[in-house]
Amino acid sequence: MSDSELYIALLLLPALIGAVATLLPGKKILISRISLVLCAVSCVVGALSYTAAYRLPLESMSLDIGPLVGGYSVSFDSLSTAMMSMSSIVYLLTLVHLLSCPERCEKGNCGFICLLFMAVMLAMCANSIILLLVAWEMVTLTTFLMTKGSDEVYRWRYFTITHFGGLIIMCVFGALWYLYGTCDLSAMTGLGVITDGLVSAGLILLLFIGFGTKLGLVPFHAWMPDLYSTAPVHSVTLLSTVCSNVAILLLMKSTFLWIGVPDNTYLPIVILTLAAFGSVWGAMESLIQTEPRRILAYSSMENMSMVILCLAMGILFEVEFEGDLTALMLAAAMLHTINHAFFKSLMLLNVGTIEKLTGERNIDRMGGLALFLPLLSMFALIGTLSMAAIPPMNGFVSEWLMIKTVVTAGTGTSVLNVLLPIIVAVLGVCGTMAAVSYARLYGFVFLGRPRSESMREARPMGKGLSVPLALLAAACVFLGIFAVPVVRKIAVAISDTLTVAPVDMGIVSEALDPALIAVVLALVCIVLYGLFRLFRKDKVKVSTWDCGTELNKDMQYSSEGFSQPLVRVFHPFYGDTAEVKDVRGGTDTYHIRFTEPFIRHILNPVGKAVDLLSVHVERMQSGNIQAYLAYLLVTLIVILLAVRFI
Amino acid sequence: MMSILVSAIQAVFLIAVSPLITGIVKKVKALMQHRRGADILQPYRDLAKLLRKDETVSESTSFLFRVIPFVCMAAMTLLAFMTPVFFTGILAPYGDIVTLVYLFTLYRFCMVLGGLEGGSVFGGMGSSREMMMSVLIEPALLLALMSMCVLSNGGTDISSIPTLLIALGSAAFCPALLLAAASFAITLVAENARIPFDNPATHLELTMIHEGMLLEYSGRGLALMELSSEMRLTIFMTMLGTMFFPWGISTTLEGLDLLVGLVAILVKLVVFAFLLAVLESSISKSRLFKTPNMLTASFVLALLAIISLYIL
Amino acid sequence: MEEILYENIIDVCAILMLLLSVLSITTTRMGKLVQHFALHSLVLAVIAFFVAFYTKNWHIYITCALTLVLKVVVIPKFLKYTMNKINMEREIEPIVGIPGSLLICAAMIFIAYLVAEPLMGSLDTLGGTCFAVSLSIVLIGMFMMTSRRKALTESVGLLLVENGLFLGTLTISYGMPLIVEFGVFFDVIIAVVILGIFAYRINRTFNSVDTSFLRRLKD
Repeated sequence: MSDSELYIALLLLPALIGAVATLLPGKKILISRISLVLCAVSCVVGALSYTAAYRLPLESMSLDIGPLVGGYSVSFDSLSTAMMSMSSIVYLLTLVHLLSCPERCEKGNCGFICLLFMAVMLAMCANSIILLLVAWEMVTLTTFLMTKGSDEVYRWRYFTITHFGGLIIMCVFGALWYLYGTCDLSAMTGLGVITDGLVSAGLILLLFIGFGTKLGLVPFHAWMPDLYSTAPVHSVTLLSTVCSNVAILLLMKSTFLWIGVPDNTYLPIVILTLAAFGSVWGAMESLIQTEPRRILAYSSMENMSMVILCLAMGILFEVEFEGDLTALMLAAAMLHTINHAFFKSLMLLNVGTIEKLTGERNIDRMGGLALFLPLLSMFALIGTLSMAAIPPMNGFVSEWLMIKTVVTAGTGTSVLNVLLPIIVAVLGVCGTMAAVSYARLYGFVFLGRPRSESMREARPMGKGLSVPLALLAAACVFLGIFAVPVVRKIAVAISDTLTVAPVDMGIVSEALDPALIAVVLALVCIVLYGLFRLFRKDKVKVSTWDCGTELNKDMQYSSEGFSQPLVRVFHPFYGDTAEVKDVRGGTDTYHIRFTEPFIRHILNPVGKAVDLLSVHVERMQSGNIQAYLAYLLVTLIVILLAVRFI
Repeated sequence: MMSILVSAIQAVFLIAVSPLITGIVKKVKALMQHRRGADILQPYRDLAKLLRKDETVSESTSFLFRVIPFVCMAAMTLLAFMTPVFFTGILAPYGDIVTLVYLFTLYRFCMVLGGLEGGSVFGGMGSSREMMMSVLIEPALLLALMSMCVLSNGGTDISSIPTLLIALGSAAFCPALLLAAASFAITLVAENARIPFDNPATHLELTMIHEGMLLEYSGRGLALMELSSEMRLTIFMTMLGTMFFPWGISTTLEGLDLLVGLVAILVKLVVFAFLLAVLESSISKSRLFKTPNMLTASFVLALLAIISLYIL
Repeated sequence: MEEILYENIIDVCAILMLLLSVLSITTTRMGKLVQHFALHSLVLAVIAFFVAFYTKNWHIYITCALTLVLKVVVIPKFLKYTMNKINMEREIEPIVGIPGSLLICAAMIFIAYLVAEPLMGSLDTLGGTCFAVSLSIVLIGMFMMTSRRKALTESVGLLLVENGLFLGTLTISYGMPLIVEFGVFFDVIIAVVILGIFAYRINRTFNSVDTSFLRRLKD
């Protein structure tokens, strides 16, 4: 048995055993714990994949299953293994968090989690089209099954939209198979084989749409907020982080490696428009949500759209500059995906912990948690700062890299001259808008005075819950402060794996040193604090200034009021709003309800059209045997004619 | 080593001079309203007084409330290190314009969280309005700085922009420069909570933005917050004076050049302070929902600055 | 050397004209709008003067003088007079809000640049690079005509379009033949007078100069 075979066995077998184990009858909790631990073992092995691929080294290998076409082969390039390692770490920490939530450990759920891990790993290292498609389908199916407990409508909406995407992906890879004549992905080098630029542009666009259904690209984000707000939090975390990683990695590899970038500016511009719109839209919608999980759902949409925007910019740079800045742009995309996995899992698990400890899900009934759960609030603060791209956290570095690359590109052809300032503006607007939304999230959950009694009665946080959060928070800080070496590694991985020119790291290392920023910030704080300690003054505790009246819990700014000015400024975009009167609890309260224009104006009409179509199709099902035979005859004739003349 | 020393001197200079600039603005405004006004050194006395006082802290605030003044001050100090004042050389891996914009975001983010800490209505209101403005200010700021990069042929470094601009000579003095400077000037006024965007002199509930967020601070915390906001004004003015109109700044470390640079920046700061005071005295505070008009104008000016480089 | 100087002056003036057009989009007062137009024309006259001085074409001096007299003095006076005559409120009612209009203006300038870019290299006249600017002024003027309700703002939009065209002809081909220019000036005056009378009539009939009332006439 070679090293590679041993490694892949170690990676997949524990998870597989774990998945099978959940089928055993017996004690529920014990079995599900065992399966989770087995999956965690797999995660540890997965986390080592980057080192293993480098040290052992791992070779590509194939499992020869007789007559099955192409065989199930896997390969380990540095880009995939980097993504595998990072995803495994996030997966592992989520599992640890799940282990200390016994009420969430159902047998079925745990089995699916094991399966999802296998699917994710296989999708990332797949080297044949069949394996890739099977693994991707498995990712979609297991995540669908893991969301049990959520509203059926929302689950099926997710199922339908992502399967629509899955179908497109299948078609694209089918076309690739046809064009290359092989299903071996490593044989596809893109250049020269697909001579028609229009064909490859079409394929790439379809792939972006196909994977975009999972990433929440406009208008396929409709499933996100509802599913995020109702499904079990750990499933959501894995869906939002690890599955997005898979999608981005596959997008990157298929665009730049397997299909090859066509010499065509329209393709990146179309994707750019979609992505720019999606990121601004995600940021704007996250601003008006009243449930933390929905805020995070839209934040996922915003972040992933930003990554897609980077990929599109990468294509554009490849077309316009012959690959000078492409690798840097892709490194930004990759880094942001990884960072997103860390800060989003931190925040989602944080929200899950809050729900577990207080039982509240609505932001308007929270507040003041920083006093009752100080440790949790620390972790949440780090997550918030990372999401809002505040230096020196990790989110800052990736956003910095995006803007920096665009600004460095500066000028070029007339298309670039017009596009680049607009892209900078879009990145600026959605970055700031997202920062507003996260300030609101943190401010109204953790700061201020409690808006309901359940905040004061929050149960203390156990070690099992706080350790994974602490590690995720540490990862956010670490990836921020030591970003430059990380960027270097990623850039090398990208230029090794994909067919793009290597990065000039000087652009990054000569312009940014987050460690230095962190040190100076910390130093100034410490010096000032030291001085203040030296010349000590008294501190008096008083209540918040109340203009002479007793402040009750509602006499503070509400989260809806907080976003009101921006809603008013951007009101044409928000679509229809309705004021809703809520008379529960004795007092009248007013809320503003927003309806997503996309659901109302795009998805609902599509649904109606499908309904209408099915009514017409139903008429064909007359039940008459002659009719069915007639259909067969007509089909046969059409096929015969098609074969003869095409 | 020498450049680190100069950076440190420049930072200390900015910290030291910023209350003076605020003092000058206040004095000129008072004179224009036919009042005698406080001495231009009054801000120093205010700070000294605040530093000597005890603090009162709301009981509903967390540790964050006590940390925020330090972080705000640290962010501004770092910015003071980054900005070229009378000499163009600064610490290299610092002075990127994108980093600069994000450091301002750090400052603003902290201030907004501080405003939400006490759970008072005023704090929430101030934070909410500040965030509304920031969404419109930040893209304009980024674009204005980006146009300076393009204009100076590719410097994304704060210190390289003035050097490259001076090297361009009279060719640098083109419409794009004026447009970018105009856009930057609008963001300066808006970001520093000045009339017509905000009134720094009142504590009237309906008008305040910046002051609303500082309401719960007292004593030393307030001193740090005040000093850092004064520094923000000075840093913005310095950036306007060195990045957009760099003439006079020293590109070498020679004594005479440095002296000229020092005098030049002082003159520029005083002129900007005077202009700001004139502006504040001559127009009225506008309605909150009219501010997007001006901020969009600033945004469009910055876009025009970039595009004018191509169309002319 | 001299040429570069003129080039610079004309560039600055052209950008000033562009800015003034954008500024007219943002103004909410009719009086201010007319003032902006007068300034706009004044800057145009300055450009015409420099072009005339450089090319030493006497007919450009004449068009320059005509611009000064007609567009800087007479037409604004006439517009003010009509305003007072019909006692219209000074507020302009935009259909698109000001931030939105500004962004649309920016978009139109970008489009103008994209359209003009391939041609710009081939123009070697003095200030030939102003082509994109003149195109954007035309677009902005047309946008003003479509997005403002009052009849008088529409006439100002038309005048802006005319100024943009004039800038274009001036910088691409050093102006049109004199007789054509006379014709254009005449047309503009007639158009403004007719629009003024028109506004007066609309006001008399509907008690407002809001052109959206005219929609009632369609049946």
